[in-house]
Amino acid sequence: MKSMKSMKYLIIASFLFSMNGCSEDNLDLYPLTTLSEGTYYKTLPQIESAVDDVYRQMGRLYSAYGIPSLYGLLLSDDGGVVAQLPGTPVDQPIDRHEITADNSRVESAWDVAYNAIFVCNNIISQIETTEVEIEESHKKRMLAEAKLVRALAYFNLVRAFGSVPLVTQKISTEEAYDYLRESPDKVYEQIINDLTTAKNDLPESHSGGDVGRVTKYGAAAVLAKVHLTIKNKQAAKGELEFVINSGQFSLDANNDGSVNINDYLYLFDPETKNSKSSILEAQYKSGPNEANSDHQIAFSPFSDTFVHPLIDDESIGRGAGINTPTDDLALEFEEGDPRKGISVVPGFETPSGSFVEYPFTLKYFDPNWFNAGQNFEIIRYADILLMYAEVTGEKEYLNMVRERVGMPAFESAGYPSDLYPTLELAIEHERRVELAMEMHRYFDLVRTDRAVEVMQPRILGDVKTLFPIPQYAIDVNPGLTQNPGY
Amino acid sequence: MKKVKNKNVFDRFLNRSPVFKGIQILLIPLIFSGLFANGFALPVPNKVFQQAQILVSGTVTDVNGIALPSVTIQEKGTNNGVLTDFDGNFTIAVSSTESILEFNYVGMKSHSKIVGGNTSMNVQMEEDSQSLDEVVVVGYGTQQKRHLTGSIGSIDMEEISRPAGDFGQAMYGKVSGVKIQNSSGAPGASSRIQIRGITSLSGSSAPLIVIDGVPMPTIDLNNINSADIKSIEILKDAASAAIYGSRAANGVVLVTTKQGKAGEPSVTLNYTYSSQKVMNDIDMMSGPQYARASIDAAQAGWVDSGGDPNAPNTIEARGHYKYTWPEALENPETLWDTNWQDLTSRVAPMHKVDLSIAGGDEKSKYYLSAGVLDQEGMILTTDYKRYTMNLKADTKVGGWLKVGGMLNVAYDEQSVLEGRVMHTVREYPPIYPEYGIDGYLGGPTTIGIDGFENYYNILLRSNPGGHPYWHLNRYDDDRHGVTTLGNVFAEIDILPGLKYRSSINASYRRYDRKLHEKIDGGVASPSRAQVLSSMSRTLNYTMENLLIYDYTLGNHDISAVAGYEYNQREYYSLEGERRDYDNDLLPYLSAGSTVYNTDDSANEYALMSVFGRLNYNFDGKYLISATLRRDGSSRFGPDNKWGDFPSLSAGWIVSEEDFMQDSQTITSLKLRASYGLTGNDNFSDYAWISRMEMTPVAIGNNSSSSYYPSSIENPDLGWERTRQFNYGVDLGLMNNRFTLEVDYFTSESDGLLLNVPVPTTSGFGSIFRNIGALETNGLELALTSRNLVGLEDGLSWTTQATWSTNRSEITQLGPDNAPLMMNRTYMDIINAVGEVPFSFFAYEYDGVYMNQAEIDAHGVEYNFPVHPGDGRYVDQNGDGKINAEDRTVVGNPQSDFLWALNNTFQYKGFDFSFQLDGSVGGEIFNGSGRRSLFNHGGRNYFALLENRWRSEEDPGDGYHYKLSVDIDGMEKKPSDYWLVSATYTRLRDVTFGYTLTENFAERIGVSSARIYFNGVNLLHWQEAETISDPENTTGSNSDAAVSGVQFDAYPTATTYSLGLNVKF
Repeated sequence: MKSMKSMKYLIIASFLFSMNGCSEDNLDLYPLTTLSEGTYYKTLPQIESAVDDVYRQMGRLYSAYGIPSLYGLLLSDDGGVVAQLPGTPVDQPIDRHEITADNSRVESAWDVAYNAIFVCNNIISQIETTEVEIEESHKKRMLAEAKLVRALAYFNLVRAFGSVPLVTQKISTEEAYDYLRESPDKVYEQIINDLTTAKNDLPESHSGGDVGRVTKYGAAAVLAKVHLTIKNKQAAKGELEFVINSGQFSLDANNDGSVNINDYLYLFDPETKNSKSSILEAQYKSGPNEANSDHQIAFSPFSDTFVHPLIDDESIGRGAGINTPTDDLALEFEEGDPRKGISVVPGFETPSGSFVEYPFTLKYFDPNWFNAGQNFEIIRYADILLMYAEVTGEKEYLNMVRERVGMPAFESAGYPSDLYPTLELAIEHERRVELAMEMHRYFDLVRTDRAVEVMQPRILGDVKTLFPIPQYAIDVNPGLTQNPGY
Repeated sequence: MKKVKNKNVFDRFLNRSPVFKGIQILLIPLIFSGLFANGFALPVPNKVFQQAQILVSGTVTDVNGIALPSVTIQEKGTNNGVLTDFDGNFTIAVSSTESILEFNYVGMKSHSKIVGGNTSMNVQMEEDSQSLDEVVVVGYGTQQKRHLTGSIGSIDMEEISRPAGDFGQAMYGKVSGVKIQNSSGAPGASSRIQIRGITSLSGSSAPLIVIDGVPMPTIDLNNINSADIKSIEILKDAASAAIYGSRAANGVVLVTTKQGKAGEPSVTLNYTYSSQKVMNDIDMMSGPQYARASIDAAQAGWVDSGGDPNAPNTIEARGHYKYTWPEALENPETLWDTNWQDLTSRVAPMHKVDLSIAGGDEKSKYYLSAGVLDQEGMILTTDYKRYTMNLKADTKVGGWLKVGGMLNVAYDEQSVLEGRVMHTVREYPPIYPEYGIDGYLGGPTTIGIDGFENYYNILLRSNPGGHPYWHLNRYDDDRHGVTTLGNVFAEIDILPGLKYRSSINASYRRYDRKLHEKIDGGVASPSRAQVLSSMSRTLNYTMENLLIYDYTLGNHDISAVAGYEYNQREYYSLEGERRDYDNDLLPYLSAGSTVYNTDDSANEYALMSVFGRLNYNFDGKYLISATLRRDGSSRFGPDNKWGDFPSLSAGWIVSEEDFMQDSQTITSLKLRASYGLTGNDNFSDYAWISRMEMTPVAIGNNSSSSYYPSSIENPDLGWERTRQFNYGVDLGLMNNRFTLEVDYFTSESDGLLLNVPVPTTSGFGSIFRNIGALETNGLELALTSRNLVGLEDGLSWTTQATWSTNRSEITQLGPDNAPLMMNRTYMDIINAVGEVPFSFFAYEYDGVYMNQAEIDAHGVEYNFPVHPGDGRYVDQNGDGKINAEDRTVVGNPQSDFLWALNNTFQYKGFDFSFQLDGSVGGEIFNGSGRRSLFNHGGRNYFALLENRWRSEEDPGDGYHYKLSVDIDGMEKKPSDYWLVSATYTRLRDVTFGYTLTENFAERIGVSSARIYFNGVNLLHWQEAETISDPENTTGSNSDAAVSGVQFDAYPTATTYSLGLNVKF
């Protein structure tokens, strides 16, 4: 058994040797199914893909739970809540102006806005410091796209929350504690700077696969609205004229040469994106694993017997029941206004044939219930015309909008002048019905200082014109102050 | 209920009545047993029996000539018996010279002697080496129990006869300081095990599982047949666990499987048949009660909104459907009164069969087994089956080499309940029948009564999709798993005392799931069908090389271990989903027309370690042990890849000292102290790396992918460290008739990994960082009292009791100690300095405003109108307003103490045992109550709300506020109204068995046979009325955050079993 003896040491030696097979490199493991940031931004296509994320962010800003939806619509007299989602009520308190600082909807809308700002800030700093060679005009265009989206995020934040932290560069988490609320003036200054840069550096239009990207007119249109909001009518007028005079846009959305109700309906057809009436649009796409929109489900009745009149699929289930059109909005439409049918549907019929009174809107219709993708019009041409009527006091621009749907002109026979005797009230009324359920209403009421007067009769307590700063944001960073009344 | 104000655990003991209850329950039998035992242990006067003819007297000593008191001496076959006195003397009268005297003594081999002609008889009893040299498994080796310096609990699985499929059930109450929770009663579910409280706020709180010496952090122990487990050791203190380094902070569970013995092959057959039923249903409202409550809710909303209370119940008069109700509710006798909990549960059988054969010779040993577990669930549609096989063998080659290996294979099948079944079972209104017209599920549209259409989700959240049968029958969720676990080792004797052992160990788990959501849910409108099919594989392998050295010279005993270990884990999963099925006939992906999703996920983990231990003992009295482990892990940032984990412990066996040798009372006494450092790396892989997430983006009609950074890089990410001191005393009195183990520990965990919330202005909600510290102190007692030993033809009675408490407190959080909040939607859970981890942070509820005068008198402003019958909340900061500033810590999930009391009786062939145990203190957040069962949500309510405020004339119990359809006030904000007490006591286990006499067993051709009855959870007492079982938890067993949170748990079972255990 002598050979066994030597075998013993051979075995030990070989086992010990096998230990050398494991080097410390074995501990350097990186994610297998995602990329790591440390190795990203090394090529132009990578940078472009990161820039494209600002479009996704734009879609999130204008989602059913974004600031415009909650503030522009739910807080107004147009969108309400009939039945509540289960769990802690978050939508009804907004509708009733009984919001508390811990409202999780408001908090997530805030988070989404700041996440969008981070994505924009990050890509701006990556482009500014990259060693990848990029053609100057291309670089400028990408920067402008990010700045436009950043401006949109701030524009919504400043209107809904008042003073807000103003972050314009990529910051560390430690630095974030030093960013406290800045006055609206400073925020607007930043917004105007960004939009002006965007307006200068963006192209007039796009073709092919780039259609849907933002243009200088999109920047100008937002700029016009910003000026209108800060009551600088003259500047607003200039921007609006820049858009109108470009000749690129018209009320003839379907581009068939005639302007009529079909052009209005065309805007809310899920198949038609970025039409001639579109100045700035949030981009979505229907189908699984696409950048879907959530408005249709969110705004549909929260009822288990819900049957969608246009979707032939009984398995669609219920909506989330926020932004249910109010009776008040339904009554705002004049007799025979063809826009009402798509804006407010009074209820639905169940399979067993009974009618349930539960209004909803068809403006966000998409036959693909589960994975909808209709684009959302942030600013469309009718809005431009109505704003122009507002800054110039010229009623023709108001009448252009009415004429398209065959409604009598302002101050003509058949116009309800008893209800809307002045041009201001006529514009307010027209904006309410033309842009119904499109998240403009409450911004308009606050901008024109009409919010309290219009809302008070509907509300038990005080009319709120600002959201609370989310309690959670204050809990994390106690340097943030709360808005009065919360 | 009550606010937890007293921070001190011991204050709380005194302030709570359940504590007294607990103490009494614990103490009374103990005192009894103590008295009893003392009665026998006292010197017994020599008795002369009338019928006696011969007096025999003498002295009993051990081999060293030391007198043994309290030795039982009995005349065989009679009731005649005495005990020795303190000097070992006895006198007994026997009937004849033929009589046989039997001497029995704890820790000694029993001894028999024929009287013969002797009237004087001196007996020397030998120590029973088996109990003296009791060996326990420790990290990378074994040790004599008497030489342990750390704190280790040991469970001999032979002594457990609970036939549960879940091994955790066997561990209840056996080791103090170990908290076992039956997180769910679902078949196939595992228990939650927590050792010495929480050491981490975000990492796992589950202990490291080590099987036959190999760390298996991802293994579910239920994939090993409990019948194949020989013993379980629990390394509680850090010094014992530190040799497992970076994975040991939550303690270590060492599992040793059975192996063969030299000798004739021994075949063992176990069979148990069990019957399970729901231990505790929750009291819900009946149909008429629910109908009344719904009307009250509509009326209250109407009146509070300023409506005329007497306005007719019509939409015209009241303007909104929610303020009206269907006429039918006023005549609940025309509706149904269905008990959904009864209808969806059943008495469910369980079968367990295990067969094993073990044997071998001087050189080779083998163990081979097979087991089947077939368990039906108490809730319809659930079941679990498990098939296991196990082979373990080793052999010696050439006198210096031992090789061996093990292979364990388990296949399991499980039908899982869809997540919402339990809540629909408790919440679906009782006013609907099982089935309505046309055979559709019973609900508002199928009961043939008009007037319900407009009330969905407004007054009544009752819809076909909420029907329990819809959830039960529409979802088929089937899981299949195969787990293989194996190793091959070689052990070489290099030099005398020096051994080298090398092994390769691997486990492979394949887990498949198929979820079929059917079109036909039993309602008129079809549902959307889909099939989700997923599979995952986990390969985990460990290479281990050990050098083991044992050396004895005179009084010096040295043993040492040094080792190197490399562990790698690879995980991959794949899933696919299709939608749009024409029918429910083919529950496979291929039959669906739309490919909805395909996805995969992959990750890897590697750990490299070197470690060593040195034990030294001098003269069998002075013990010292030191260990060191160095771990490198792939989970950590480049700046913090390696960590060192040392430990040091010492023990002094005082009873071995000369000055103690004469003590009659103190048989053994050992003092222990230990210090150790352990780590926790149990969180997700790649956490330090900033990832670029890919998502779809649309531009016009095109879609492409965009990339964005989804997390922040943190190259410093490292271990969580726990430093623990442990002080222990092991005491044996009166020849170990009483043994007591006491451990006190204090531990400090720091570098805790926290997802620290940061201002979202940075682009992120949180960052994962080593920040934060917590402290835990605890006391553990384990007492064994052998009350009766070997008396009266073998009657023996042993009482074992365990008691433990531990309290954790957060001592540091981040750079500025800002509190961290989690789970914000339902109940705010806070981690704050000075508080128990995961405390509940909410408004403090203070009963009902009985009338307007009380509201005015309180004078506090709410953000919304308040009316009589609404809840009253405490204005903590006294600013006259109730707002977010008034939230406070209103409770925490930490138990004050755990206790268990086990009594075992044996008489002739009969054995009987029962265990009582319980937990005192702590709160649970009742998540299902939050949703609606405590307040209006249109669903059914807890029967408790029959005591609600209804009007000033009928104000209820003053605690439960009214029900109203308008709930935008405080009703849905987190408050202690939603917390319930976690205190309970349970008759955990009763076993009654009979072992056939040897003669009879031989006659029927077996070597031994035992039949037994076992009952688990036969009786229970708990404070909370609105949860089924305070032990249940929701979420992952390893997640410390969920220990106090319960949503719609699968109920716990009361199980009756009959079992048969035969050895051939």
